[in-house]
Amino acid sequence: MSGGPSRRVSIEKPVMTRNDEVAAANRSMFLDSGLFAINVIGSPGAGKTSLLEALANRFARDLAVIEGDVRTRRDADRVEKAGSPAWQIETGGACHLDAAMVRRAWMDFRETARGSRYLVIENVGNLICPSSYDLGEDVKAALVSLPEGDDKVLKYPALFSRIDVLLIGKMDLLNHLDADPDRLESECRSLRPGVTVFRISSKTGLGLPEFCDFIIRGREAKFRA
Amino acid sequence: MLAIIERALGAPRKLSRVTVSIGPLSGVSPDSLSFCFAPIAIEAGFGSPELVFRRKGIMVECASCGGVEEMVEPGAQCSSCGSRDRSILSGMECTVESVEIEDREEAGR
Repeated sequence: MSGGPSRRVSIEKPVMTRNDEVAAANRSMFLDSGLFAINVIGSPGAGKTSLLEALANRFARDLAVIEGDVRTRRDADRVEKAGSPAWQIETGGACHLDAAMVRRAWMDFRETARGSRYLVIENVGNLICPSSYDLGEDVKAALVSLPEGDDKVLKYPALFSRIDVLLIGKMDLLNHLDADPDRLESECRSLRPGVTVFRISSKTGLGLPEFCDFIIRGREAKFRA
Repeated sequence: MLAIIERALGAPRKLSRVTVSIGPLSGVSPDSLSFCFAPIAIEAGFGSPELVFRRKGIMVECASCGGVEEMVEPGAQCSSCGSRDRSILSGMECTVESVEIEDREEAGR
């Protein structure tokens, strides 16, 4: 440690600069590939992969999926079985995906996924760490399911203040639980007034046509020019 | 973080202090960052700088009355008009503000 005067140098750069640079490169790569990209964040067991199975049923090869998990390729297998090409990232321990992981995955996956119009990146199940990492997506979505409780939004404000879409999942269980989807929605709007909200059930299909329309319209808007 | 500093300085330099401003919505834990930073800074040739955090608040603008204030509790209503329709102006940032290069190293150059 210094005992005398030292020279101060101004830096003024975000700590996440390097990730953000790779994310920007991903964003232009997805643009060049004709892809509309969605980063789906949610707790383990929220129903992220079940949602992707439902989207795979709807979009088939128009959808490509990058799965993030600590271990196993179980989720990629489920999505492929449902009809869409999928690539599994096994982080080996990391609790989130970063832009460089997604970049490497897409480089390996893009031939298999050629012709896809939509890319969904399923982040590692976690409401904390994934919130800070831009992956180059067009839309950041959080999936919260009713059995998790209706008090989760304000417990994880870093995530819910950044999202474009809130998906309230497992709505088919509404009558069996005390959780109130109105509370989830209003607390999310208090952090993110412009958030788009869908109440869905991957089991019954509730809300999925509307979410699929949102994805289709999002891609149309992105490439309309 | 050290890569950003190295890029700004041109090469690793022995540092006495690194100042980081951090918002409550940054998603970055100061304790975790400090824990990781110390050994990596030594290994990367930056010495053992003191890591100083300048904690920022969440600043919000009310869509109803236009008031700007600090949101102390996430999701709290506007203290002027009671609205919850407020846009976040800052509080998500985690920024390396500045570094201080050790005087001994300066003298040696």
